[in-house]
Amino acid sequence: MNKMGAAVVSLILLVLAGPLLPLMLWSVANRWPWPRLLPETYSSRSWEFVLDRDSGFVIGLGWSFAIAAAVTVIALLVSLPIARVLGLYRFRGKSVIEVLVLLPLLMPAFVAAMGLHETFIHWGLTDTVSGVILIQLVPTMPYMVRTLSTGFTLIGTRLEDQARTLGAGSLRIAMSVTLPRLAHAMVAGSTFVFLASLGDYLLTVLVGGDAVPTLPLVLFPYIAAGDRPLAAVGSLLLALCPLATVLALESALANFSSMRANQEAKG
Amino acid sequence: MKPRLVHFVLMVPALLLFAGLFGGGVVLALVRALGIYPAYGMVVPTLDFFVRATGSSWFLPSLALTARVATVSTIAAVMAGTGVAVGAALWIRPSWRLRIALQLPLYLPHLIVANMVLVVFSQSGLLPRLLFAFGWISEMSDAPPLIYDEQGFGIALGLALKEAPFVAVLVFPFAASVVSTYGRVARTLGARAPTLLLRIVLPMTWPAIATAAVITFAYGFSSFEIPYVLGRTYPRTLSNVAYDLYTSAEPMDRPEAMAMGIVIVLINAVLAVAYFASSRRYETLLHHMRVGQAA
Repeated sequence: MNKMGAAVVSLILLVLAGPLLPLMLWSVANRWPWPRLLPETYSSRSWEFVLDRDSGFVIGLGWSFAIAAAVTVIALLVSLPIARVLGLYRFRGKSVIEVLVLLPLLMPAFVAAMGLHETFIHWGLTDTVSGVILIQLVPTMPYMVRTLSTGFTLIGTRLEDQARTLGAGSLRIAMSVTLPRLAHAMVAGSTFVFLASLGDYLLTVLVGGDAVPTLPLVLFPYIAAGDRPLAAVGSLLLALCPLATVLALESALANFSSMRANQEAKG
Repeated sequence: MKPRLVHFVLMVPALLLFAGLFGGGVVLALVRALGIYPAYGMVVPTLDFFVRATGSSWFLPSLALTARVATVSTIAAVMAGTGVAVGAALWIRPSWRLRIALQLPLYLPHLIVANMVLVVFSQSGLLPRLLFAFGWISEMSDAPPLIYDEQGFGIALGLALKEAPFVAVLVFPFAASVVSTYGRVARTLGARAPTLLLRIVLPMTWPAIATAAVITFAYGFSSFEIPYVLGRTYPRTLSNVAYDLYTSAEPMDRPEAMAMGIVIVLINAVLAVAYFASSRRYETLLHHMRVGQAA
């Protein structure tokens, strides 16, 4: 990347970090009366409160991460087969299936959650983690299917066919040809699903209620009540954890790609 | 390629999930909205709850507010997002750092965006404090009431901030591809930046922009958290009204909530038709891009 480009990217990042700055100031403010531009006194009180186990924030973050991970893994496993068929094959009725799969993306998922409520009670899924995971699959799966099917279209079947001609079995082909080449699409889809699940408030509260206190549910009352310092700390927790996750995933992917590039160069 | 039977079997789990959870959920909501509640001895379908939901005095103000915030936020988000995407495509060499920088704000949860808007734009927020520092206002109450205002400015602002990065991420790959292929040719032939922008980049990325706009509008129309935090108690957006009815203690508010939900679904269905119409052109664009890159 050229110097100019690096400078512009840093500028973009700075602009993005800008809105987080007031939250950072509020998170360490002790007294910040109108109309001061900066807090009058500072304190670590809000952070101590939020990071204390009893306040529910840290446990909420744990719930959020666990549920988001489960939603991502299930969405990935269920979407891979259908995405492959949609990405590589032509058949009659394909566009109907594509529309069906993308529809939840453009529709309010909370209406489905409201409709399913009694059925979920019947099946013992309300107020449970499983219920929350199931309902979060509704708005997130379309992204996964869409991203993966584009990925399958892009990689095509040429290398798979070559491997088959050379005598590789289906499992071998999947593990050493298809999935590695699909890594970018899988990471892109997973990132989106993971973060959408992590930030969800409405579906979680409709199905899980108070029984599944994820971070957004713990945080919401503080925002609604206008408790600026605690809302700020909670927001930073919910905003920065996902960003850290994305950066970790992306750099892992970059490493993986260069490792494979090296291997292929040697082989 | 032609699929074999096994490929149809492969699609079953995903289709069951979509049909069962989404389709089933919406159908059940419709059944309840039609007033069919065997538990209460109600078995005859009726449109009463739709009439009640759409006939009450708050419905039109709520619909107007919802349409207004969705429209305003879509226009703002599409302009800002397209601007950033096209600007980045024209002036920055593509890299994974740039891609990440564009993507990061996309991942901010709705609640956090709402909180940011509160902290900056409410009457005790940072913006009024800045106005005070410049001597433009002397009292907190002089500050423009941008949040909890009747016109829904705060809601539209929150939605626009949330959706602009989405537009940018969707439009950027197309803009970058057009710039690196046709744009390069045009530059060689002596086209200047405005010509390049107006005659080549914007027309060629238009399908992607239109698709982004439809999705953004559909999101804005049914979004929940941002209007819930940044809106006033009356009028409320349709999704907020549906939620309030749904969580009310009165059992007969529930079918009304479902009716409200179905109304939102119907409006979004119209948008979905627009989406699929625009995405057909988008797919064509995608195809041209690949041909362009291969060439």
